[in-house]
Amino acid sequence: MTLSRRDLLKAGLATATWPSLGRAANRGKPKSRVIVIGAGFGGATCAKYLRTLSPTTEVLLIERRSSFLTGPFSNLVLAGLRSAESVTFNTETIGAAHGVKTLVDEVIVLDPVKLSVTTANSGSFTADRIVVAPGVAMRWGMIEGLDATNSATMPHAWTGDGQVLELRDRLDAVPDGGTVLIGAPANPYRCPPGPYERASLIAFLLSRSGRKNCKIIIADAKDDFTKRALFMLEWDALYPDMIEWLPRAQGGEVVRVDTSTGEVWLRGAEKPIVTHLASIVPPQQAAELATSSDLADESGWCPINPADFESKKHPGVHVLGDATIAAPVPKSAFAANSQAKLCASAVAARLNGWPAPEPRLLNTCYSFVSDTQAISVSAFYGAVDGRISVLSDGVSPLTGDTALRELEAEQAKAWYVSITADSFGLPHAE
Amino acid sequence: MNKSLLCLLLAVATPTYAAGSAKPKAAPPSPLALSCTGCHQPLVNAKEMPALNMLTPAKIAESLLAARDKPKAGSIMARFVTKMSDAQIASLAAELGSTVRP
Repeated sequence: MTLSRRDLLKAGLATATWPSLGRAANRGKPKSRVIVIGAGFGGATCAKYLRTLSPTTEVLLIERRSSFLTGPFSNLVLAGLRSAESVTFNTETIGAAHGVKTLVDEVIVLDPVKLSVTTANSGSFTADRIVVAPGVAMRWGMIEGLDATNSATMPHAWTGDGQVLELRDRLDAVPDGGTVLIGAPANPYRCPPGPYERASLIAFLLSRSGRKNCKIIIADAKDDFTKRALFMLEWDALYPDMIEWLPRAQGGEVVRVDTSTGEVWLRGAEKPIVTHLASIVPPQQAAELATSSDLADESGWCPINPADFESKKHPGVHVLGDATIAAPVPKSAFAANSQAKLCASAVAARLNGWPAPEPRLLNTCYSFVSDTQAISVSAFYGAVDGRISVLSDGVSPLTGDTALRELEAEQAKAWYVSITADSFGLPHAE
Repeated sequence: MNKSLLCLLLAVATPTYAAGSAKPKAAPPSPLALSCTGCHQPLVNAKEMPALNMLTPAKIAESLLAARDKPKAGSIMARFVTKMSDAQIASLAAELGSTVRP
């Protein structure tokens, strides 16, 4: 690759191999270097805590998107309950808040043996350790007729990009009496309660806008889902006869679509369902960077040691968040943030000769069932003999009244402020 | 409060540790305590989710025991401590409160 001096200057590389901000932000001469790829809940949090816990470590954060929408609260955007801006975060701002050098650039090669990365526009870098938090990719080819080029017409809105706005705007055009179909994927996938929160909030939006005769079909590739009893109880109470859940056992799996007509075929069905709007969330796997750099196994996800989230395939590389095999921990923002702190602590300990930290993780997933009501699930995890176990857990009570659901919605909003302040550095205006 | 001041306060709310020697000058916070701060952040949500770094071990133990024995409706904390013994809660409170700087 040939880089002009302008390119080098732009990347801060004209005189030094590594950009200079990381050194200025830290104290004294750096003794180690860590590259963090991905500035979502996992990567941004890890970069922040590496810098804080190990001040003599230079941290370089690389993210290909200049800004992104968070998965959490994106369903509220669909229902018109939050602005897109209120869930959008800027990569440069995140890096500045955390005091780490940040490149908005695409990693085109990650060499997991040499511990080097090559970016599209900023050259190559080597490090003592590399942390990868790449997120998920859609597994195209599993649903006939649906691919990367046409999925925006049946928006999954699952990866924090323009599809969220596309889906929001398309909801306006659904007539009263119309059919909305949500295709829910098989496990594992990002944000397990997401399709069901989406169904709830679309039902809320359609009801509130005089379209109570609409039908929302959740066509599911599995036979159960998180918080199912709670969701179904609330659907009956809030949106009677609007939401129909079709499990896999009843032929719920989406096998084929026609994006030009809006038709959706379920497994075994002779005729398609004609939809006014379909949001098909395809089956998923770890993002392409994880697969191209040999961090994923045959399942498409990345095996890790839960003590420190180091790759089981390539020592020296750590993988965080949704791309990992970390069950029973779900692929959630909270879990990615928690994993990032364990990983940063373990890497800091290793680089500085400190004792390894005890691996424990937390998670809570809130789901809104209306504009003012939410439900949640939480768990506390420990790692024993290389496996993650649930130490304790709990969900919202089925017997909860409206006041409790409203309290949980307020807690969910407070949580969003906290987790984004922690992960991305700034309290975010609503 | 302006944003730059808030950033500064958020930044100093998490202590830094001397590196490069075999032992840090002060013990680094446990990753679990850091995970708690995903909700219990300094300067935001003090009412709903008190900042962990403002709580003493004694106060944390009191809160966790209350969450286990007399949980309020909708308590998230009760889900984390429901199976813990008094001794485990005391140990956890000491760990989580160890970074408190009054």
